[in-house]
Amino acid sequence: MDPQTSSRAWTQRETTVIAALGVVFGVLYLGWAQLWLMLQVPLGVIMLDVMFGFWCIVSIIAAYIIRKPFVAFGSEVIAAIAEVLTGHPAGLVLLLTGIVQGAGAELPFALTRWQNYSLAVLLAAGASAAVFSFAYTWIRFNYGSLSAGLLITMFVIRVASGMLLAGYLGRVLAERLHRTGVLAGLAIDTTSGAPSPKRA
Amino acid sequence: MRDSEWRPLHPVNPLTKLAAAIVLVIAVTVVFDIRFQAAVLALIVVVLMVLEGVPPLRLALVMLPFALMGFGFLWTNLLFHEAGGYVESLGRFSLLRGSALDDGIVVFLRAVNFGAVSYAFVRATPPADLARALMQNAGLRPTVAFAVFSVVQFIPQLQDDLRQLHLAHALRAATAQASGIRSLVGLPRRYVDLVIPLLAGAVRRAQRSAISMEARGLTHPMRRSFLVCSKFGRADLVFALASSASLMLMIGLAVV
Repeated sequence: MDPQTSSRAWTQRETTVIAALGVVFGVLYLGWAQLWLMLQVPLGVIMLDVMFGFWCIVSIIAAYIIRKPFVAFGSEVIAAIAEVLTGHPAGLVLLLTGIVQGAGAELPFALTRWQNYSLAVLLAAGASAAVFSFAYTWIRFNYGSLSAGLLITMFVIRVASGMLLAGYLGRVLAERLHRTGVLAGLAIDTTSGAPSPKRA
Repeated sequence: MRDSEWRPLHPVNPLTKLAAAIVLVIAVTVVFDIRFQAAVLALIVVVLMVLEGVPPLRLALVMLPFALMGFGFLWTNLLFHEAGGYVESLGRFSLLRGSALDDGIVVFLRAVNFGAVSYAFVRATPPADLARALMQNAGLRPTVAFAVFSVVQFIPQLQDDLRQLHLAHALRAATAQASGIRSLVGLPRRYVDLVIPLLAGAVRRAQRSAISMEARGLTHPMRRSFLVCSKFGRADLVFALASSASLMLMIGLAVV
């Protein structure tokens, strides 16, 4: 690893890659939100919990690729900023959501001092984002008025979704992206144990 | 930005508008009262239609997804309502406590208001002005701001990439037709196959952009000069006073 990339500060290349991931997932999140809206009307608020994980996948992917402090948080916030900059009507609210979910995803990485990016930590990051998000939506959508049984079901589903759609799928996508060779020189490529990319 | 026409809210510093919008979002979250939520919605609709010149039909279309979201919360409240809890904890702000329909209507209005406030901010704030204000007045690192701005320019290219990938996948699907269930099982795999090239293309472009930014000395720590300065002025004072007064009035409606 060269001295620049071994530093804990983000390099320009890393910052731009995080921004690119944020912008692409900002666009994909919108498509996912449309699907959620269609399903939410007949199936109710539980669909938010079922589909939740995908909305914080970028934090897992970016953290797994860059492996530096605050990448999970930053990428989620950048995805939200990109939605504001592209003029998406819900941009500002998504910024608050991004801050909450990003902080949740960042916590497990911070607890390992940004040294451990194993599948267990990625799943924990997805679960942590789900817990933070649940507390946020509890206040935002007045979950206190719902029955305890429904709330427990929603919480369990949301944590499972965070682990599966963010933690597990995030790692699958990051590894598939790594195999394309575009991440050469970034931490995922230089850290031992990561699958080697196909090079042209 | 959607148009270059002058609007009354555009001279206000984006950070003043951001602060006002955040305060309003917090108020919408905390004050659990139908009259307050309805007053906020009415205020934002007036601001958007009168000050921002948004046609009613366009406004209705923009608000539709938020209304759909709110509707989901409304009927869930009706079916799975449990009296007490958070609503009760808000004490005197909760004028209509205990009723499933009332709670559901407040949550519905709150979902719509989140969207309305957010849209009003996005509509009244040109993105370049916001980025400039964040850099000059809020300490956002230019390396981050320029990185985000440069990749936002890729979005039209991403749409082209997506169209081409869809065409390529459609051609492949035409040659290898799967049965109904097999087609459904293969859906996640097809999704991953679509996302990876999209991401790879964006990352490749981003890295080229980063190299060109480094080559132009963007990453060098220095005192930067800006062609357009983001300042706070009389418009900000007037806007802040008007926003505070409106908020106090609407909270007063809920308390009285």
